[in-house]
Amino acid sequence: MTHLAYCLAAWLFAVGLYGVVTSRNMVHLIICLSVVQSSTYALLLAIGYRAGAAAPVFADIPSGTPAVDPVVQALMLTDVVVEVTIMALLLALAVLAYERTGKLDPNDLGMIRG
Amino acid sequence: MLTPPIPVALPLLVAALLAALNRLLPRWLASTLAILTSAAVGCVAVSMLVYSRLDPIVYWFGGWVPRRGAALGIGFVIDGPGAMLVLLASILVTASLVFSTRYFDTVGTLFPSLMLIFLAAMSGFSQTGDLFNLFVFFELMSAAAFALCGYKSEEPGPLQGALNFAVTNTVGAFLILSGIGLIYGRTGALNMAQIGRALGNRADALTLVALAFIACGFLVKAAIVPFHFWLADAHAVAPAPVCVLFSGVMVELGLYAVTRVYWACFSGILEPRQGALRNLLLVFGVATALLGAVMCYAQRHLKRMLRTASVDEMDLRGRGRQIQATGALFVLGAAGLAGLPPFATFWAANMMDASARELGLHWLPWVSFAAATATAAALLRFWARVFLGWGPNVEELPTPGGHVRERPDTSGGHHRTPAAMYLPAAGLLALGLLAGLAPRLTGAAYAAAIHIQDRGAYAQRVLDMLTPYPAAVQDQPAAAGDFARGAAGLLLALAAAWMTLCWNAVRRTVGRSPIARALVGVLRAAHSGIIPDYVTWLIFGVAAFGAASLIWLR
Repeated sequence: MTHLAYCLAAWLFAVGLYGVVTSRNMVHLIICLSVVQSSTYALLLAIGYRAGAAAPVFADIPSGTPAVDPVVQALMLTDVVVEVTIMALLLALAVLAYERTGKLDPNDLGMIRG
Repeated sequence: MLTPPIPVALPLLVAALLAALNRLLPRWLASTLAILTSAAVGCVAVSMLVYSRLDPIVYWFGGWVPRRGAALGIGFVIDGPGAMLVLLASILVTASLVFSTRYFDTVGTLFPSLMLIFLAAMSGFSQTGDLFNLFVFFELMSAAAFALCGYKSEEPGPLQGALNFAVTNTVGAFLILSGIGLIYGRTGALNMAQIGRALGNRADALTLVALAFIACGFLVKAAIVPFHFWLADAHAVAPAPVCVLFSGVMVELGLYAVTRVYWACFSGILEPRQGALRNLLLVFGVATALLGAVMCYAQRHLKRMLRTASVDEMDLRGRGRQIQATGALFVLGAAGLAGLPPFATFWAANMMDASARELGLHWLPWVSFAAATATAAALLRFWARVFLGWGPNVEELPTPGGHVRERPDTSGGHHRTPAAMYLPAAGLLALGLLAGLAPRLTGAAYAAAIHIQDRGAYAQRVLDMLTPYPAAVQDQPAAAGDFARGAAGLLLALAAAWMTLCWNAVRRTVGRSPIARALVGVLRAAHSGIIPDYVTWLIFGVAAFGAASLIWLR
């Protein structure tokens, strides 16, 4: 089971990067970036997973019950919050760039060159 | 002990206040508040620098101190390098804020607000002792930097520069987070000192992959070849006061993070392979120095050149004669880059050369000398053309860059350079000189280097609250040869600038030689400004770093 989750993380990372590299549309590219990000969710949750363990909320289960690692869940939640900000900013930049130039193709924005 | 959270909390609170009162506060009040806040952070940084001289400051949030060597809470660990970086960030932010009062004529309160968020993130990044916290501050720093880079959002150039910057750095951030996840899975720890202990001294594939991910992620921020593409784009389009922060401190923070994470976490497992790792990093570093120098010399767009006023050298030819004071500052800056004593850069170059020779790398000082000289030469060439009016009117070298249509950052135009614009520059140069003249500078730097490399002492201080730190180190005086080298660098740079501008034979030969044209053509094609290209280079860089570490570091 856990190996599958690690494979999923690696697959999401690779497929997301492939999308970023081959994208022809800025919004598509940013969504691909969030696919890469999803791989970090899968990785973190897989690391904290324990077979047969309960959720780490000890309000209604006796203390001492095996629970999954709450730290990685906190990390993942922080990750969600941080990345939502970044994604919103990226999408806003893409929308503004479209308003100014009428273009969304990352290969064709061509406003700056080395 | 309340000081450690102040450099993070205070700018964040003032930034929130400024943003909330965006339409109510007059501009001058917002700028003044921001400048005072940043200066206050500088004062706190000085006090932390003094207190952490012999014993680093360790602060646990919420009083969650480690029990039996296991840290559950998040801690700030402030030693010499960390406090120094907070000080550097606050000085540069203060100077930029003063500069920006006259730089933008239409700045709202949002600009100072973003600058303060940037400062808070940089401070937290330099102070934290927790790996995941480092990532969070990395992302906060990135978000503020993306917004600042695209601040002139009415033009398409800054938007694309910000997009290039944001996409590459976000991929870097995902690499770091994956690396942190792998390390947590292996050690069950996020505190860097605890990770260093838990990893012990065995290197395996998993820890090496994690190291490659984390190191490459931070090297994207540090703009090391081949992760550097975003930096030139960001510099070309970001407002000048923001550029000061990008190359002045943000890029260095990337290198600081690699240094800190390596010595605190990974130095134990890689101790037997330290030489191989050094060679690997040297390859990346030397490539960056050489490529930076070549690109800089072949560059006509000043801010791109500086990667370090949106001006094209040719348009400005001879026009700078009225602003000689600015010209003088420019030359002093170039002298500093060339490593002329007594600028602090001179001592830094000396120390790097000394350690290179100690390791038997006798060629390395020559590479860094050549790179520094070429950079200074490019600046002096710009100065000679703009402020002295040297050289012809047409450019014969096929130059990359200079194809961005830009509006001037300042509207209307100032007849004279306002004091708020040249005083920050003069102040920063004076600080660079004073730092070079400061007593016990090299000794303090060596002591800081020894501290940051002492993994055992760091862990004991953080986890066991012991203070086994070594004492201060003696100064390393410079030899006569070092002074001569510093002066020769500046003279050589001046000669090179004169040759390319005024010696027709040289100019034509270089300008028309197929090798120069081909080289510049290849470099220009690589710096395409296209995001998918940059991400492809990034993947290639990570793959190369990862493969090399799996082969040579195991």
